[in-house]
Amino acid sequence: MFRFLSTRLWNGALVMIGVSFISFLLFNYIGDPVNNLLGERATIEQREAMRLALGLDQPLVLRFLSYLSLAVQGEFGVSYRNIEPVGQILLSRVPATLELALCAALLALGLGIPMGVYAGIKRNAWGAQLLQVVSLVGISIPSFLTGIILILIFSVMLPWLPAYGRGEVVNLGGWTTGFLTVSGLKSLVMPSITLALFQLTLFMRLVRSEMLEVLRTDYIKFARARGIVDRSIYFHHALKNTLIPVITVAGLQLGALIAFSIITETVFQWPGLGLLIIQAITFGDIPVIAAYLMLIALLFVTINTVVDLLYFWVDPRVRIS
Amino acid sequence: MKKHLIALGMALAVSLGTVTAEAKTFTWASSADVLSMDPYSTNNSLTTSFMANIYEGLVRFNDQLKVEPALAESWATTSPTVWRFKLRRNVKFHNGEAFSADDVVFSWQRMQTPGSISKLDLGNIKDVRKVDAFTVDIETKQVFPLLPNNLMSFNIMSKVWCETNKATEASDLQQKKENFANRNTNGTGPFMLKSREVDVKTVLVPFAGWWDKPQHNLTEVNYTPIQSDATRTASLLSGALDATISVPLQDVQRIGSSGNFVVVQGPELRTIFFGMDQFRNELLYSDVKGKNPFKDLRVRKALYQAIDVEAIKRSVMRGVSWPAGMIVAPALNGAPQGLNGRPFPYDPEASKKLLAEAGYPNGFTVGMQCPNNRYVYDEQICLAVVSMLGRVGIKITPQFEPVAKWSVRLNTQDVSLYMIGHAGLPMVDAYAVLFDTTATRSQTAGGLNTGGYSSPAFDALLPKIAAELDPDKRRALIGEAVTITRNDMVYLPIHQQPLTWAAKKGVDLKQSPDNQMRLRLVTVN
Repeated sequence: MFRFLSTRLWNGALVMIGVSFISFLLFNYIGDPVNNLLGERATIEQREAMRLALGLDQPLVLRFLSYLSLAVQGEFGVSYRNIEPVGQILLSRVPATLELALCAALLALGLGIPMGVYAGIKRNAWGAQLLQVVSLVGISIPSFLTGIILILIFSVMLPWLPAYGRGEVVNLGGWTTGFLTVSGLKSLVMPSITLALFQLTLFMRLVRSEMLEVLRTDYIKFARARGIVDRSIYFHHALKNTLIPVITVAGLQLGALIAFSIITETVFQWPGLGLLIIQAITFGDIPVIAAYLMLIALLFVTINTVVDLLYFWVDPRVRIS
Repeated sequence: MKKHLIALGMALAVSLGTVTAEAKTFTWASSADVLSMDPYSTNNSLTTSFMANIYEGLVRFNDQLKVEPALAESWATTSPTVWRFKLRRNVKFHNGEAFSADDVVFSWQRMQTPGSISKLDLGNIKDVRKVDAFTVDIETKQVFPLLPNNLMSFNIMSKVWCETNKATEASDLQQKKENFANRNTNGTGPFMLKSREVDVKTVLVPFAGWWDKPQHNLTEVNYTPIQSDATRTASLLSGALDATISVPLQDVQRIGSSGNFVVVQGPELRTIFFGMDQFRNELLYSDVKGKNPFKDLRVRKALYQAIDVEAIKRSVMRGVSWPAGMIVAPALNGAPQGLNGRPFPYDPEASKKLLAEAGYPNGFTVGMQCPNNRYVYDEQICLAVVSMLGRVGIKITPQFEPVAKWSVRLNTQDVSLYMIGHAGLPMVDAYAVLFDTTATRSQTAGGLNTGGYSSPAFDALLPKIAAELDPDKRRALIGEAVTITRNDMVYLPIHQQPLTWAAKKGVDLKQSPDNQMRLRLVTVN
């Protein structure tokens, strides 16, 4: 167990360094922050002075090393766009994204798994067929379209839900939450659905096919022969054995919900990490992009480590080997 | 003392008046957030225009973009390069401190600190000196008649407040910690900052002690950035917003037809034009080897005559653009109005003939560098031009890129045929357009002269324009310079793009062509 963990941590560190270096390479291609800082009217002389002041004239490798040495001390620099420390900006955006991702994940798992079980057991019932069709739609509509359609229906035609933002938030010792106000909860509805739709259908389809697979195996037949009730067979014996791939995918997808909520956050002007990163990219805000990519890499490394630990718990075979 | 009492009484009356009146909250949106509350930390145009509601300069623009007194009541030159400003008395900062010449001098010093970016717009000022408590002298480096327009970029901050809060230097990217003034304000302007959540919401309330009589009737202002065009329009239609600026043209019809909203459109000061590489001996991104066709006036004229600006107006701009014959907008200070007609008509046949004369009877191939998120319908305009030039045999390979990438091309002159625009801001004057785009490119001039055009005759006119005090003579000089750009076909002017704002019925926005929301003029009924 200890060896397992230490290998994992070592791998994680390597991944982090790799990601940060690759993200640094990308900065050569995202454009020039100096132009955004000074405006188009600046003269060549003024631009060069700014480039010098920001150290952008240094070779990439040197910039990377100095960035890394500061980053390990928790110093990520100052945002070019907001002139605030990057750490402070990222921290202020985390609650919005995590609350949205949590709602979306609950929605996706809470609905996706039961729907998948149902579709797997009653594969020929018309309800299951309908779910299959609906899930195809859910998987093929891009999320910005879902978002815009929801806004058109529930904000413009029926004035029920706000089209943008988080509504009123309550600050609990630095963590801003939208769970405690009516407008905050109302604001969560459409972004959560938009973000969850793809994941929901994914889980449903995954659980369904795993269920079909497992229900064909011998031990289910023996269980039936022993006269165990259906309910116990489906939920105790079968479902538990479908969970390994579901946990793997759920782990990755939770990371994806947090990391790639960019489109949903942009459509709903949701002030989280996704919106921040898209603005940072447009502006060429290198310190923010670099720190964001590191944060996301850390997130994925952590989630995957946790997922691997969960295998121990769910699947006895992993423990034995 | 009596005067003070009257002022106090008036301030009280005004504040009581607003309290008893119905609450008029004004919520508006644009596509991006204000970058910083520190007025010196950026020259981003949205930020400067927003901050002009909180901080004021010695002068200000009215909605017709004419200079009017603000913190200075009057001014006059005492020598060709020294201007004496008489400051307004009884002006208070938002925290109640009195305003005086010390604040002006302090603000100038703060403007010179390393983090300050707005100082780039004030390069003509040499020094600001206190004469007495309510008089300052401003000395310019050379004769500079445009100083009042230039002072729009010089907001006045409070000396005591900055010192108390350790914000005597402008916000600086090199500093590791946030500057107090990046999130807090203390101006003399009509509105005070109530709260700010970066990228979410910025709330302003009227300043009861403002020296001027408010023309607005607002009791609170909420500004919120909404990046997605569709969401911004939907939010307006849903009633969540009172107004938005930067309305996408495709939504104009829908907003206008609903009956509850008005769309306000007018020409922006920004002129859009195409530039051509005129300095390389071999054109980039082209099949012409060993020479540069754009060095030949006949080729530039052929391009000019192949572009149908009326068709662009009709089919790309949905009827809202103002076709241009010169690169300075006619509404700019000093613009030679008479030169905005198009010197040559749209005529593809004439264009083909010119190309044949120049030695390209079958046309040639060239790349086009075009931004896709900078100007109104930039990408669509470029596509229209691509097909128009295709008809006379010039085959274009377009390169569409977001601003951050496209601007790198401009800075490094990695262009062949490129789209560009200039609005003459912040001084609202024709000179800046000519200086930036057509002066011979050097370390300190012609920063946007990407095509590398160079004309000694044109360059010789610039210092004369800069120093000319008489408006008529100055206009004539600018006319001469513009004539050179027209005769040499330095650029292919397209149009002034539209400013499109929308609001609920009953909201009067007082739009002006510099795209600034002057909240002090906004009324809500």
